[in-house]
Amino acid sequence: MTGLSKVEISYIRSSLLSDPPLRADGRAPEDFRPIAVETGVAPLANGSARVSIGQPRAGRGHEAEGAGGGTEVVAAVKLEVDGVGDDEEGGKVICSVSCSPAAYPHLSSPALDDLQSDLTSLLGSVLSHPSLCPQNLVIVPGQKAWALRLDTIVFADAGNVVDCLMLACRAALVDTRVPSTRSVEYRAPGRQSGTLNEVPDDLMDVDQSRNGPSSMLETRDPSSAVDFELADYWDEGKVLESRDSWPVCVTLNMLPTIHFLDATSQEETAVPLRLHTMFSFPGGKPTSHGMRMAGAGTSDMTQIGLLLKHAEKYARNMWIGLEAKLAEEEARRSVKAREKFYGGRRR
Amino acid sequence: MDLDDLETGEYRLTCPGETITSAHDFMRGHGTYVDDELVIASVAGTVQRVNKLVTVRAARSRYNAEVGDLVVGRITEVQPRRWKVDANSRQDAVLMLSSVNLPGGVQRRKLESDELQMRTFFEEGDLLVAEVQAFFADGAMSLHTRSLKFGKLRNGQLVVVPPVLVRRLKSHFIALPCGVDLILGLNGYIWVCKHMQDADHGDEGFDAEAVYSNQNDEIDGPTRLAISRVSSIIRVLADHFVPLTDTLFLEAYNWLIEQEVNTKDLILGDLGDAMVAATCSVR
Amino acid sequence: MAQSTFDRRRVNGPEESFSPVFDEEDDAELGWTVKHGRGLADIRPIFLQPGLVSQANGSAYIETEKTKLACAVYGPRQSKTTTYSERGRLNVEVKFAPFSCVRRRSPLRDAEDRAVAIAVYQSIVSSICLELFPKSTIDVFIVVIENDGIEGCIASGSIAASTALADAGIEMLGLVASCSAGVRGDEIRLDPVEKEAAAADGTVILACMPALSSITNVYQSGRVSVQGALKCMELCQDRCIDVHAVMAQSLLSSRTSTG
Repeated sequence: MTGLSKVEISYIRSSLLSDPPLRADGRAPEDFRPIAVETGVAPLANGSARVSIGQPRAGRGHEAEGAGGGTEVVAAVKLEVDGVGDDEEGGKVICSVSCSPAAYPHLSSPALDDLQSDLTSLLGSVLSHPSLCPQNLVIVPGQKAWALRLDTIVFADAGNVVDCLMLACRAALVDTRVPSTRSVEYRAPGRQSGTLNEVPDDLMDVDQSRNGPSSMLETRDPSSAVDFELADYWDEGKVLESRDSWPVCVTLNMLPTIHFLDATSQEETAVPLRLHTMFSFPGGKPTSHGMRMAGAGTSDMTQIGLLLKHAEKYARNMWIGLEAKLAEEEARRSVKAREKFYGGRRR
Repeated sequence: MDLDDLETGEYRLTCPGETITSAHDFMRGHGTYVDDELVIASVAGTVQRVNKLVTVRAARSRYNAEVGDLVVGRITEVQPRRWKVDANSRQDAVLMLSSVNLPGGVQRRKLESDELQMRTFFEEGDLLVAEVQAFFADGAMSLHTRSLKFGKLRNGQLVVVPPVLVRRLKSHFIALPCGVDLILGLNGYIWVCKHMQDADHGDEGFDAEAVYSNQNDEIDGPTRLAISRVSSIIRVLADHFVPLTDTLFLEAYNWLIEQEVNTKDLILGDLGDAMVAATCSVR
Repeated sequence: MAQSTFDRRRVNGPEESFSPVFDEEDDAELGWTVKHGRGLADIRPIFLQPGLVSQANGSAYIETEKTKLACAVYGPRQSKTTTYSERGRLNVEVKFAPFSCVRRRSPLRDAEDRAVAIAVYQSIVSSICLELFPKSTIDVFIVVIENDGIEGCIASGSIAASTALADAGIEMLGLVASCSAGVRGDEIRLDPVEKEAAAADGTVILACMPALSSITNVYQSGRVSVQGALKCMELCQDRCIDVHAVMAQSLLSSRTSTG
């Protein structure tokens, strides 16, 4: 997008400020473009999702400049085993956003890097917050835990990329399955195995058996488990805890008298001031997980108060819609996984 | 492989590297090359034969300009005594300062101050309609806005479609009865705006304030609605790869009014298919 | 533990190193309940001195108990890029000194630097009359000397940047004052230090121009209810009026002292 002319910007703004407000494609100010959500798109990841806002039309390419193709984002979760630090509970969420150069052909490489790091810090400051860390990421308490890496890629950007990113992240996190693990302890053969779970006899012998505190200086309570192994079960693992606390984002683009949602790229250029609001509804109660104002322009308290009330409403609608779709996807996935597991076994 | 069977009018699909015919019998045109006395296609598209000339027209390619074409372009750069214009082509087109109308008379001599004040005429991001005057040696188009119907565009919005869908018509300025004007640029940029009255300009001068102004006129609600409807129609037709003509717009707009639907429902796919089916079958 | 990337320009320490562990009470509850000698609605006392960096066009040094940072403004000066821009550009860069935090920070720029820079940029960009400086760039450089909480850094950074811009004589619509708040349950505490912010459920940073009663930036993170967030913003806005008075006072007294 080489930018809009002054008259085009003025036309878009005056159309929005007219009564009734009119947008370029005829939508009402609160209307979103059609949103498509699909989970399980990356089979090698522990959880993944693809979200596209506005239909990306086949064969548009750069010509979609004026027509507005669609915004498309893929998010994937990979769990890695990580050591646990001294003062950490265990388990953390690390986000990253990468913008494909195909989505931003007019941006130079350093500008693209800047955009990537801006989106990464926006997402990271919301999703990596300690209050959102799921509890069941610990494998061996005090020693090993899962580090959850949430990577997102923006394939196409036709406006409203932040909402799309948050939807994809939430869908990927809900789709994530944490592999079930069993703590394992190494013991010399011939000793009583009194403590932990099953100890396979053919496991390697390591002189690390600790029957109890070996010295008075050892004040930590050492869990005797030093390693773990993966269980083989059909459902690919457990879901993440506190799934209903991952937020969705609603971006409100602000004009002095009205606000509107889901801006296209031209609308974003014409109306730069916007407010990103992240809401989640655990147990039906609205909780705000982040608010960011972006773009040149000022507002005032009354407008922000009003916007927040509306934002809660919009976020609730989006939440309900997303939940329904994710429940559908989950049912489909478990059927598929069961078939695959048992189908393979029977052969 | 034998072109004699190919009647003028019929078509055959081909892809790059496919041999079409022997070079002795036929002359090669665009989209082909000669290798070892064979004419071979260099793009994927349809083979067309006109007497002894063989060309391959690609299904979708960048806009190729001809002299006399009407294009809608966007200024990308302001350089000494010229502007660079993005016209959806291989290279940016060039608009020379000597090719634009200077305020104070159509035949006014260019002054030093004009060169320094080029941004008062066109600046980065402005949209304009111009005609291709000539080509530079490197293939870049040279544009001119020497007529009063060319110049800066206002009071509307831009729709981008594949250039191949815009055919060469007698007039690219279309006035629809709903109060909406269309300017079909052959490069795929289409400008949809409020209807302009044809003011009578004398030769003595024209109001520079008006021609190069950055102010939109007052546009009322129904006209804005009509503009947004027409833009959606164009997008839907372009998605279905339907060549654009003025009769098509009229029919589609009337169909839309009859159905009494909201413009936004057009974008949602199903209604768009229905519209295309209804209008294209009438043709 | 702390893995440092190999830095060829410096003498690197050992690859693995551990900070000494002090016998400190770092119970999360205690972080919130210790009063630090001020009321819930009181902010830390601000020391603000403009004009400290002599070679910059404008500068300011701000100190609020354990948050200290220096800001220098260069500009407006010619943009290095060739693309024409009708409005001026604002460029904000933030650097944390390696000794500014409890754990040593690498001298290389990282994501947190940029996040603070973006927040400060958003706070001040709407207050500058950029349309008066075509083809020019204003550079704002902030160095954090001591860091006691990111929220404090962002708020103090915005205050210092706005003061430095005024010190440089750049035309602005108004001075930008900024204040942060932490929420835990129903209790709201203004200007939280690092321990309080870590123990809080959520934090809110507000930047506004008290002279025009307009808000330039809202930054909220963590878990907060909508009413809680609005209450925080109102309290912050009230407090920003006092901060604005401090900023105006410091600018005027520095002007009178330099004549």
